[in-house]
Amino acid sequence: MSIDVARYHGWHGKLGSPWWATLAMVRVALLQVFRRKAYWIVLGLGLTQFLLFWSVIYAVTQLNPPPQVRERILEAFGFSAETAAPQDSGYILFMQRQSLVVMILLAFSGSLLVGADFRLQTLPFYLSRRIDRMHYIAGKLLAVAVLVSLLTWVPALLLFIEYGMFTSSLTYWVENWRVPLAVLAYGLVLCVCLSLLLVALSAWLQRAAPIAVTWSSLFTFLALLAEYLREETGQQAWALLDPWRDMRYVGRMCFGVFTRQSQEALAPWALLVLGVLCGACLLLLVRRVRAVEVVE
Amino acid sequence: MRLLRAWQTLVWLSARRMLFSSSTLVVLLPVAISLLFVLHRNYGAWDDSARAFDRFSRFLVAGYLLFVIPICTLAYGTSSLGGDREDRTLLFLLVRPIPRALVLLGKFSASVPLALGLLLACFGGYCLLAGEVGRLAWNAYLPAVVLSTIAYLAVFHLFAVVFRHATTVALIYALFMELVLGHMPGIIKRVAISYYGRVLMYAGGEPWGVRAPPAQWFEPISATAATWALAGLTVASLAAALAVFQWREYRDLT
Repeated sequence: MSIDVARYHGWHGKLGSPWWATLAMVRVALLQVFRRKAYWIVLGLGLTQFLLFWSVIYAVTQLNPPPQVRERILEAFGFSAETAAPQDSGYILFMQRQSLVVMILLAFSGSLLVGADFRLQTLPFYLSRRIDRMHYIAGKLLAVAVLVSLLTWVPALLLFIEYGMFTSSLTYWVENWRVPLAVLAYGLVLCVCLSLLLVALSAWLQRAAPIAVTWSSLFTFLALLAEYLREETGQQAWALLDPWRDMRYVGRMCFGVFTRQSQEALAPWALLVLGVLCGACLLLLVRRVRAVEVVE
Repeated sequence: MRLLRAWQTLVWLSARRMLFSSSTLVVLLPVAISLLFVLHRNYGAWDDSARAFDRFSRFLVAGYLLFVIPICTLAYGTSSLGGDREDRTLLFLLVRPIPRALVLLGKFSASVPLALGLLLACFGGYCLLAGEVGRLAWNAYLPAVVLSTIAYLAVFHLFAVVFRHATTVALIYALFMELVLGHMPGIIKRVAISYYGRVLMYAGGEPWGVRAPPAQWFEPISATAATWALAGLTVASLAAALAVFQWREYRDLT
């Protein structure tokens, strides 16, 4: 009996690009994440911030509070009462405030999405398909980037849409057309930096506990010490030690909004620090994801 | 006698596995960062020793007590039993003729000297680098460090027994409950272990001028009450962990 009779035969159609496989990796990664209750709890925590901002926008646009109260509420949340004013930075504030939830979510996801492939030796299954390590790395980075997006720039854009929809004309959207672009740019910075860092760390450390310890040391402990050093020495440059702050400075550069002169001066340096960090992570990652593992 | 030997073997094996693991390596990261911080600040060379002690105490409270201790204990506390669960080797442990309570106590006993040894060594290192100020801090803050470490370890062992993804839950606890709730006004902060640790540290540093935050943000209880609270938390968490581990049927071991 020929093998064709057993309905086992090669594909005669046109083969698609292996880059499409990255989308399959993203789909599987999201399924893995959303299957677990703990992740829903963390996503729920992230949603509370979104609902808070949503309610504030609703209150100031629909409930017509006295101008002073309205001004105060908007000030507290970083929005400008005047639509044409340049400091429409409530979206930066929102994305900044999501940092703790994003950090916790990624600390868990690293082991599940990337570490397990190395620990349980499932990497050969990926690399035995028609994809090479670049596709694997791109798929994993994209998966983490989607998780980051779900908590940062996607809800920020929804808030922008909401603000415009609660006004009586298209003026808000037209006059603030730069805001969604800036949100997207800041979102891109967050996605690129966080996904590269997490995937590189997870590929090397593999287990949940070491990844969580390193991740929180990088993002919480360094921030704390940077703040101390900045306060005690008076040198603003210490702030560059904190990766979140670096991303925030670059984000402010995208928005063109700086609350202090020092932030503006440090923003290019923050970009440089992030560039070096991402380059190092990419090198480590390419070095770690090797087909030689399959032979071993 | 046989049980005692089995327990000793388990403690030795677990301690060795935890010591030579990636957890030990990564725990050294915050420790090293702190060490560089203390080295940079050079508290021993300050002219105003009262100010130096105050600043060193601030670092110990905010950096060491609120971050380094929870993170180091998380690494060992969740991986002592969680590591076996993750590697699916817990089954082989449970089929041995050793009571479950003894298995858990063995794991806990293995993690205590490791975590305590590491944390005390780095605390001693910071104090040594801080000179005279450090010597005062060592005497004043040692009870808080020891009691907080053991309490955290007990709580994280409870998490390891109860939750499948103990690291996840422990990290939420360490970063959210301890850091966020621990800094809220009112008595809600009393759910955090770090609150009692801070009470002990502020009480220890009081003779040298260390002051607790304003009363509307931080209402301290007495040092004796904080000591009992930490001891009680340790015993209660361990008892709860023993009870759950004794009766629970783990379905994810194979």
